[in-house]
Amino acid sequence: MKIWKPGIALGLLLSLLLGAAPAYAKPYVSFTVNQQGSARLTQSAYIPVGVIDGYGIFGKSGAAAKAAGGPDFEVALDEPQDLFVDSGNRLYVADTGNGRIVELDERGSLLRLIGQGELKQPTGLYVDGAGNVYVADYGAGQVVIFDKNGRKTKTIGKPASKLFGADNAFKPQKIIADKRGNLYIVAEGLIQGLVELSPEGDFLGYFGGNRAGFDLERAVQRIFFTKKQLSQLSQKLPPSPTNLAVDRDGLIYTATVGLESKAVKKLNVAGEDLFQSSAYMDTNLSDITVDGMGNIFAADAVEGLIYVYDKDGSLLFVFGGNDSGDQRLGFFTSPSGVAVNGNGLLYVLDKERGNIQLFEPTPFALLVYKATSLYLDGKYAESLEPWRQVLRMDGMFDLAHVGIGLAYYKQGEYGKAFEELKIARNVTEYSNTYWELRRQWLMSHVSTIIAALAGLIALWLIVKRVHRKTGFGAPALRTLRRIGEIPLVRGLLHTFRMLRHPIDGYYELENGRASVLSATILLALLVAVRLYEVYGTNFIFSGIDPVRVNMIGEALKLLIPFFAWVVCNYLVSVINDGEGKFRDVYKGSVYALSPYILFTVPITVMSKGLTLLESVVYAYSRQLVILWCVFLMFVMVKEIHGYELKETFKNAAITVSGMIVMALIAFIFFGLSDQVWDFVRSVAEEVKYRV
Amino acid sequence: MKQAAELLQGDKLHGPRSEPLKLRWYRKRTFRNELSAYLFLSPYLLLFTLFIVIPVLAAVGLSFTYFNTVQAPKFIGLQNYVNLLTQDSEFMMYVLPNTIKFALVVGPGGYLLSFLLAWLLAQIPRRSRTLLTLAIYSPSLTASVAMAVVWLIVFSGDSTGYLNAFLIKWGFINEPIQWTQSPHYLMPIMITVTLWNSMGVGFLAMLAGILNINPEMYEAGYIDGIRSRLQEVWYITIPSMKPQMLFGAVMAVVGTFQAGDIGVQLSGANPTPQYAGQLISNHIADYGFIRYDMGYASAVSVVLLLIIYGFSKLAWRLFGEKDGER
Repeated sequence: MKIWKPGIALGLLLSLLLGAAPAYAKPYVSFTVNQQGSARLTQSAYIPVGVIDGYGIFGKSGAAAKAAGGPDFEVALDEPQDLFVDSGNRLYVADTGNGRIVELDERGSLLRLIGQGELKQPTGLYVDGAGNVYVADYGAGQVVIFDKNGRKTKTIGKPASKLFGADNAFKPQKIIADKRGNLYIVAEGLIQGLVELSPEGDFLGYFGGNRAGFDLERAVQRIFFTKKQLSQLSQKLPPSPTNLAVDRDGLIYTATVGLESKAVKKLNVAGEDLFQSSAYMDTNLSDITVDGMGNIFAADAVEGLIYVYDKDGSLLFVFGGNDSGDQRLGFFTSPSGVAVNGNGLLYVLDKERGNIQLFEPTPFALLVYKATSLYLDGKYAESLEPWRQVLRMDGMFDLAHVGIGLAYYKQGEYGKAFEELKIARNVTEYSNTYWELRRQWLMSHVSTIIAALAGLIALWLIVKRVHRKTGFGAPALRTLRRIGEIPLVRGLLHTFRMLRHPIDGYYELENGRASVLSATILLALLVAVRLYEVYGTNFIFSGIDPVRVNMIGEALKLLIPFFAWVVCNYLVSVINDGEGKFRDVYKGSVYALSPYILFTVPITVMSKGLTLLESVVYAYSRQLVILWCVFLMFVMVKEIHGYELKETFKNAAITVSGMIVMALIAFIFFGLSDQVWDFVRSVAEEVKYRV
Repeated sequence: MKQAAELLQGDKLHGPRSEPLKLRWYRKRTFRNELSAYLFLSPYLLLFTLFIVIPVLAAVGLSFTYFNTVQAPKFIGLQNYVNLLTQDSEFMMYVLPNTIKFALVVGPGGYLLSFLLAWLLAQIPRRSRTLLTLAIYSPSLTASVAMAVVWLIVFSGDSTGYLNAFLIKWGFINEPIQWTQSPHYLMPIMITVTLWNSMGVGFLAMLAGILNINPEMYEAGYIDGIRSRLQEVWYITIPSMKPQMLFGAVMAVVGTFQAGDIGVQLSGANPTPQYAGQLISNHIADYGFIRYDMGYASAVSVVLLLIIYGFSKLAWRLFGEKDGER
């Protein structure tokens, strides 16, 4: 039921931010995506604390180089493409433009340069636990391995195996190694997936490739095109992964640019994605990394945003943004690498600027990490306290409410869980909790309910029998009947007759059974019923937040199409020999909606007692009501205008297209009148200003 | 006529001395008449009691007990029913929703389908009608054979299954789908197969009902101002074949709620994978014949009986003859 419209939401948010703030002071904000899929500002997650830009970083070897007067002491980065932090918190940068690997310490002082002169165009690197440096040299088309002293020990070129594919070029872009020493390489243009090599450099196979997915156009082409025509089409290929990371457990993460739903994948040994979550995934992720707790950090090269996911793939924070030319800390031009060190310090490498920005997590972010990791490890009770602290800092943090709710749920405190999940508006978990609550309630009340039902049925039977024998209650019945005979009431009660006898019902309708007044009352009732539906439906099914509903808007959404239908239908029928008067069309259309008027309230009430498991009951009853209304509408056109079946279809189709035309005209008209009004107003203002 | 006259006479004759008649009630001629009728019925009544009434009563009785088929049943009151509603989470979470979903689609769907097909068949000449009727009726004749031969091959889980092969060939999917083992697809497949299978007795009864309508009725209807086929169906066909419609509806209700076997046949397991295709009758079989909890199974079957009764009652209200309203 979750609808993710993150693109729109983010865009909106950003445009709001841009619109609200003066251009020179774009605020530095963090936000998150809530359970409904819209962006929401939150406390800052990371604070920029510094930048390593390559100039003036000397360190020991740099100082020595400077003292020797050599030209190499300057470590300005040129188009750096990858960043890695090893277990000793040392920083490795693939300085692509300069053809070398730069090793820096935690604060960015130069420790040494690796592979100067040996590397052509290194774009990716990885350092294993023993200090061996694996470099993907894109320019040379090979993988180069250095030992911990920076000596080149091995180069691996294009795999000789036939399975690799003789025509495939080997252009390694990114590289990692797993615990066994197997290498996983992202190579340009290899749609089959990651190249998996043994420590010796033998080709083991392709790993974790993406899928092309189903394409309707292509399927249709396959049916109708000849083989020759098909061979001339360009093939549709799955996107190849863009970047990869490996965590402590040896699970491999890939990021793929251009995938809509599974942009980040967590792959097991078999190459299958472990993420089940439908959390928001960005589509332009240039690099990902995993910290010690399993949190995933990803950089968006286009928007300049950093995404933080927890280890189950739920989005925690988004921060950063594109630098609009003011060279401020915290914004990027084109982030190409992210890395986290053991202390939680986040480094972001900017390809165009050639610098590395340092970010420190705020206490808020640390709390969130603590809570999520406790929760995801199954320590629900212990995660409660950190979640509460998170809420103290940001009361609207949805994930905290979900976390607390689930913690309560796992402890069996369904009542409290229900309240928390209600705030977070997490449909699935809310429904599960409600199910448990309902079960508890049933457990304590089911015998009473059975007894009460049996008693009611018995009572009803007895009353019926007594009534038949002694005429008990006859005056009351007579009064009811007399009320039913009042014309207006009779007209209103006609809705019930429409349900069982639509054709007769319309005949009687035309012949004075219902008045315009009764139809209008019913129309008002219809609006009321619709509003009740909007406000009253269990949010599991509606997905609407009643607080945000505009009452008048909802009413107009119902009334405008309705009157458009009535007017169009009347006008169309006048041309097409319809017999119905405008009054009859109006009355008939209202009465055609009688199933909706009668059944919506019970269905809405029922929805409050249902969970997602029984959603089929709710969905079917609603669809049935709507189909019934459509059927009655159809019979209305046929009977009121005295059409044949074929004419009825024609009339209905023309009416609907008429409505569309009307909507178009209205749209143009309002658009134009807006312009005219603008013009008049600006002329008036001009006059005021001049005179 | 003769009997009525006799009765009248009898009343006249015996009227004045009614007091001693009460003592010798069994000599009353009417009762003797009825007795012969009952005698005539007795083989049926005997068998009906033996094979229907007693088992149903026994099930109702057992539903109040704990009975594991080895020890004697132990009376536990309403406990089984309370457990059903509160403890049996499979029943409430999967079985009941599944059954409702299945019944909502297959019941009215199959019913409308059989009426529509019967009506269409009634429009064509006799010889081709007979052939087509046989063809359309054949799915319910050949249910189990066709299941093994047709559907299991169509929905086979490897790439040689017809559906998988077709979808792979046209590029809709990349790898074969385990149709009947997958919780996502089992229910839709069950519904499809049951709908295909639904041209049962109800369909034949409806066809007979439609063919039974006097053509003069339609002519009279046209003289009285019926203008279209829709009105013809609405005003003449359906009212004239209400008994058959009722029969069809009741058969559809009963058939739908009994059709639990299909899921087990398709998936080859009871319970079905992740309870995806578990219907009430599977649940009964599960508890009765796999877990040997006969008391509980009886309680579930009583609930099923009540549900079927309720829906049949609804069918009666919709299609049964009423005096007042029409």
